[in-house]
Amino acid sequence: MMSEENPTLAELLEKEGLDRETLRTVLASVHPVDLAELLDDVDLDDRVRIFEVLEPEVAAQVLAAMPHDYKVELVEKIGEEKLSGIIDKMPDNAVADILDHLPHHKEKQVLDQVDTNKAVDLKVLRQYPPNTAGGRMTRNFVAVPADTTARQVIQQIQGAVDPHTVDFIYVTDEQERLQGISSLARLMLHKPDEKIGSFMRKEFSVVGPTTDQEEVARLAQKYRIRAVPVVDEERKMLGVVTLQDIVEVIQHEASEDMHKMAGSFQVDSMDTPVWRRYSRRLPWLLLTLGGELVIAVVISKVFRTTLEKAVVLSAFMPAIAAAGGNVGLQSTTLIVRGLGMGTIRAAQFMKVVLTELRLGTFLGVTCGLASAVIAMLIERNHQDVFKIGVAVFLAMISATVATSFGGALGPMILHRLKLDPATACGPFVTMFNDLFGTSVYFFIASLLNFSLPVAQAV
Amino acid sequence: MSDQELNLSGEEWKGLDRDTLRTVLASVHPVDLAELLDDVDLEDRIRVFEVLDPQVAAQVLAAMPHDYKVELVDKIGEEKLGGIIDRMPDNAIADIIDHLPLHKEKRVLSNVESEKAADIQALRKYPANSAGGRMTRNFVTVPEQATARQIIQQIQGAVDPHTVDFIYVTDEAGHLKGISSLARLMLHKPDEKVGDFMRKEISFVGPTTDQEEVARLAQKYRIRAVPVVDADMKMIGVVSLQDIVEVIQQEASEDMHKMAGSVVADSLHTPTFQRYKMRLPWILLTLGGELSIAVIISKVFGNTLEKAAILSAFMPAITAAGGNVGLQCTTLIVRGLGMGTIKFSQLMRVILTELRLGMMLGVTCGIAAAGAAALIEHHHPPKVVLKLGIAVFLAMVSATGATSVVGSVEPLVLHRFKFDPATACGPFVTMFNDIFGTTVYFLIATLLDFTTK
Repeated sequence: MMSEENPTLAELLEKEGLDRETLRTVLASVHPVDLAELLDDVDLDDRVRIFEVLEPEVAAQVLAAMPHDYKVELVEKIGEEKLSGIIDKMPDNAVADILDHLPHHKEKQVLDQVDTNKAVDLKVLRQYPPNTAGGRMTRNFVAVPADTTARQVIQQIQGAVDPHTVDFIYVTDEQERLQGISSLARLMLHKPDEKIGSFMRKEFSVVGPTTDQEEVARLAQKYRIRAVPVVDEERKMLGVVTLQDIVEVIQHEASEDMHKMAGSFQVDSMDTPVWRRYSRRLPWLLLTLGGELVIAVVISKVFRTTLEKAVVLSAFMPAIAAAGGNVGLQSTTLIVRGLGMGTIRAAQFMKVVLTELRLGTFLGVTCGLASAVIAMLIERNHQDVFKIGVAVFLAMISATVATSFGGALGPMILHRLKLDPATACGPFVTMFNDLFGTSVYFFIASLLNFSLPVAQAV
Repeated sequence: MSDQELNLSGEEWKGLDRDTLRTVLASVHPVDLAELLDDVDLEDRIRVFEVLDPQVAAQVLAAMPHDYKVELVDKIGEEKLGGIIDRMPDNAIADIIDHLPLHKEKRVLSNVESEKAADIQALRKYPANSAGGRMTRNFVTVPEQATARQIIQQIQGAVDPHTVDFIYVTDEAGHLKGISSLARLMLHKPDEKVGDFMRKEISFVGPTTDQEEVARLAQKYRIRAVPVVDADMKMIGVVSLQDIVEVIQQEASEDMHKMAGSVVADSLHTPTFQRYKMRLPWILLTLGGELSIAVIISKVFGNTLEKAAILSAFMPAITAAGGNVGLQCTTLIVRGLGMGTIKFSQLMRVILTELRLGMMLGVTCGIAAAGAAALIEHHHPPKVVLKLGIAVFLAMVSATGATSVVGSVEPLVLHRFKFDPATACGPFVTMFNDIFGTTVYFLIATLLDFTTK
């Protein structure tokens, strides 16, 4: 927020005779995260120019906060020496993330600059997909044997590179297998010569390196864990996923659920080129459009005579479709979010679906009564006014009942099949509802046998 | 995992004596135990609580849904309750007290020592969804002259080791001057003064700052604990990252449910009638809009429809395409506003980008639908088929274009006027789109003088 009051960065850079020192002083007053935001508005040349004067420590933070596309572009342009200084100050998982997006020759160049220890860590991290515990974890953790005293642990911490990741001490045996955990704060409560093995916590949750990041996030939230240890099959310590990374995961997963529900393939963003956004959104639109056009076939081939006898029926199609669609979307949202948060458990599936069905019925009866009355008022001069009311009422109830059931069941089935329950729920619920609601509507109308229109009243 | 180890819904466990029950329960994580207690009645819950260690009971209580929590607090014996409350963090107690009847509130507070009671009252001055309502008063402050050694000694006397990850440095008047993490403290020599190595550039919030704003700040600047200060920069509390995670989840749920025209509700623990009342308003309101379409079709376009009833067969396709595209825009904007990545000042850019994308999608869907319509109705004379195709195409393009704009502007405008941008976007966008799409469709058909007779 503070940045908005300053002169824009572009204006500043245009000033004649701006020397490196002045630029550095000005930039020093801006938070790295805000600086990353400001760099959004200038071109690549200016970005490179700014990076050249930044302290490596600050540059590393700015780089970490930048959008991906820019990041890669920039890394390719920054001078060799500068880059290695920056990389040196970045946490291993952030470096791995950048490497994953670099062209091969540049990747080698960056890897040549890091020291062997870090290179090994990077190799371990990059074995795992970015959306797993292994891809999200940092290798920068402190592990000590159980007979280490509190004093010795503290001495070891004082030699650690990155003070950000020493909030927890991991106790391992000779085979590097995880035995216990102590927070730094807990350690401080004990006498310097007490052994960590005597006060460490022995019951703790762990994940494997291939555990999905969503699962890691759920675990951390449910049990309020601030750093989740990642271990291999032999319980050897591989890394740690911190709560800060988990916050990112949670936000990402929530965005993904929302966008997928609306029928977009991935998280949509205004900064993405319009063609890519187009191709992410189009498939579900076209697929459900196909379903909607089936309705046209049904009406045109099956219920044509009914429609021609009482064209006025079609005036109420939008109301029926909308009521069913909205109720269905509400149920779907509830289920998708509940599954995402882990608050709806597999054992409760039937109970949840039945609750939704019951609620959908109540809502449907209310909407059905209201619309039937209004429909009869609008068409009060029609010869079959009563039949119109009945058809609207019954169709609306069937549509809301069916969609609240389908809208709740759909995501649960997807979840059971190990697919993402959020996938295209919105468009799919609409399509299902439109197909079902309209068919029921015309089916009822044909049963009611509307009379032929009286010699063109209009 | 616990489900296999212990099943409280059966009867067997009730025969166990207190000690055996305690041993069995000790093997279950408190959070899992809270989940298991979901399936039993109040009496059984009390029975379980009576044998739990206060420390564990406090954790189980914190993990329970609200309704149960209050019910249970109401019934637990005085002495037991005192022990449990004593082990709970101040903000969790404040949260429970907020939901208790007045006389019970007094009963709980009388069990709390006076210093903690003062903290709890301080928290309760602020709304539950503000920084002040979310913060804990349990933090460590030291003067600038304190050495690393002195601070460590002070920490060793602190009650709750969970909240000492950061040390807050204040002057004599209690003004916040700097922060040091415990880890950073360890990197310095025992006789170095904290004033020399503390971080002086810090982000902080006021007690009335909205929790969503606190969460955004913490995420943007990767802060692990956000200090809360009053107007004089005096330290009054800390919001931890764990509480922020809860805020983030709550806000995301709220956005999603509001978008669907609903309210966040625990589906299995909220009475159906209450949920009915939460959901009904937006559905009924937009139903009114949808029924106005009936008036338009029947009164304005009655003639056109009589001449070509088949037009109505394509209404669902037109409204669905527009509605889906609109929902995609709305989702993007609502989420962007929630995350702080989209601002009102970008209004024009948003409109133009979304309109362009909406038109591209609309043209694609329009061509596909017009082609399909021509195929379905191929038995009509070519001129009629052509007119139908044109009407379907144009209506679909205008509907998707218009809903892209409305779907993205609506949340931005609501946000601008300090309403929640997520409010009922879904049903509203559907309604707007249906009215607009259908009207355009019939208007074009009328202009084309469409008839199958």
